[in-house]
Amino acid sequence: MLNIVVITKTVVPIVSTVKVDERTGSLIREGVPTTLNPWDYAAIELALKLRDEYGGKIVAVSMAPPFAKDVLEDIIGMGVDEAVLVSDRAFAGSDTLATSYILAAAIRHVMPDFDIVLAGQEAADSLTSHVPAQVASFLSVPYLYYIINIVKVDLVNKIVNVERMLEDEDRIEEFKVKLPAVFSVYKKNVILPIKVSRKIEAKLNRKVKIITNRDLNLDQSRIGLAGSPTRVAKVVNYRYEPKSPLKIDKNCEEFARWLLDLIQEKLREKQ
Amino acid sequence: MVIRLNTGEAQREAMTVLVYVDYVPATRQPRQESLAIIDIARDIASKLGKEIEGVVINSVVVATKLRDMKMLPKVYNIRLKNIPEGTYIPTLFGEALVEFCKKKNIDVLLFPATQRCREIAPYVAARLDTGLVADVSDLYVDEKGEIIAVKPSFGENILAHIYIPDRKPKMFTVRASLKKKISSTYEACELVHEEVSIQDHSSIEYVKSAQVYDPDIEMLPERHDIVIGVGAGLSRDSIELVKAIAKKMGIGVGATKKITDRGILSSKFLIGESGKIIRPRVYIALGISGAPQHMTGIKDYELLIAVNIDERAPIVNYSTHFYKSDANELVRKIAELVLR
Repeated sequence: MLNIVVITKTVVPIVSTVKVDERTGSLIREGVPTTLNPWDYAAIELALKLRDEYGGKIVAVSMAPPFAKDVLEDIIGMGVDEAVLVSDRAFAGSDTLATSYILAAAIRHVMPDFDIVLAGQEAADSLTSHVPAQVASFLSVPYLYYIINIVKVDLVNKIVNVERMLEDEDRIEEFKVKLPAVFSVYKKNVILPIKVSRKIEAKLNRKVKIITNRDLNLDQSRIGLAGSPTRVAKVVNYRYEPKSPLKIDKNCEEFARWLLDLIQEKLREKQ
Repeated sequence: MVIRLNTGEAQREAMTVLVYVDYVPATRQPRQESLAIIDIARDIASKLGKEIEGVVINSVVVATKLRDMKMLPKVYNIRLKNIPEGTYIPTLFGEALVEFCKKKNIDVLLFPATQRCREIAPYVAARLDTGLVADVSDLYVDEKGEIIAVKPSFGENILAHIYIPDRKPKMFTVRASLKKKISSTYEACELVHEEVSIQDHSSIEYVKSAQVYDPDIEMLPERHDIVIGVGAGLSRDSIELVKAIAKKMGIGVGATKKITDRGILSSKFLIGESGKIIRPRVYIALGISGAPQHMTGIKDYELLIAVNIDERAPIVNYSTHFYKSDANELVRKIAELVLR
């Protein structure tokens, strides 16, 4: 039996459409729908695989405004046992440190006897990868990033061997980890089917549990803006000037030769 | 787990900008990314009137190499007691840095944005109860003397300028440009050895590692200054030819989501949203329409040469050069010239 927590995030699906109001510094979210962070699917997939093989329970935990309930119902539709939305006005404005502090407290609250906490490698909107390590720090457990596989599970002693991928070193490393532990799952494109009947059942029976700071009772100085060491000075939209390209008038062979010459020239410049 | 530095009384030293030097454990080579952020660190330190130092964890070999490079005036090697030289374990590296920062009164701690550093830095920030800004593209000092980090988010369409008031150290993982030449600027570099002992390290142990042999790795788009992008306007056969051409010429290949979704190329080649953001000098877009989800992944290019049958495709607005043609025909022609 393994008790598994999956940390998930709700993000906007097409991040390249998001713009910021440069006067107020806030994101223009109007008309922008939200969805599950694409890299979280791999974490949920691994959790389901572990439960199939070793038994146990999976709880998804997400900190977000109330509108994220729908995404958590989707996650129940994917097969996780429970979903918990951590939501309170007092949590608004939290940076990654404050968020991790709140999530760690929520995990202790909903599954104090957890064995494994899984998360996606990063969130497609903010791209920080901070939360898994910081949650591990607050939970005082070991952690490892970029997991591709759990190769061995010793249920008696609660020890797992995990493989992780370091893409920038072209290297796979294996570690032996005593549970409980936190792992972030290497990013890959997977989509899990949502069983509609399960989702509807979750919606009708209000299966997504909502916990607030009344449940967690966290010190105000550790959460929200007060608990966040980072501050945003300003936000600006990436400036992009539309170009008017030089239209090339050559036949195919001439153009091919021109292009190859250009590539060779640029390759030589580098050396 | 409890870690203590065995270096006696904590002493207050001059205020410091510390550069964490990441290295490849398998080769004991400092990562180029580590060296590339030294210039950024030096710039920040001189503007703030602070000292600059480097720190290596658990490798005398790497620290000695670094000393000989003389890119920093002072380098620390923190040896982890009972852990073999060059062995990497994130929590232990993190704990060692935590103790070091507390003892040395570090003001600013910079990491290169490598995968190992992206793993350690947030842990250290949480343990020190300080702020961390991830994967910053630029650092500057404002008129009030505050360090501001430029953090791209939302597919890099938004640049957030973030600072960390009233906490120490201010921490940043910094994305370095590997295109700039690095020069050594100090007459000598002092190497200082420190040691930390770990009372309990049984919770995580390194077992083994292996190099990944993937014939496609050498073509990955983020590794090249010149990248051919392939889109839905190309046939499967043409894309095979593009791979062969890229391999022969030593350039990269990138793809749109339609191509990776169809399984023609693996998601490692995906550029744009839910894929990679690259900074090539030259991007050659073959049969790519130019949807924002793809184009958001190509930044700071000098030349973008688009080949498309449709002159009104959005790619035109991103291009420096446009050639109206069936890209398949062009690929066949280039293959004839390159692969014969």
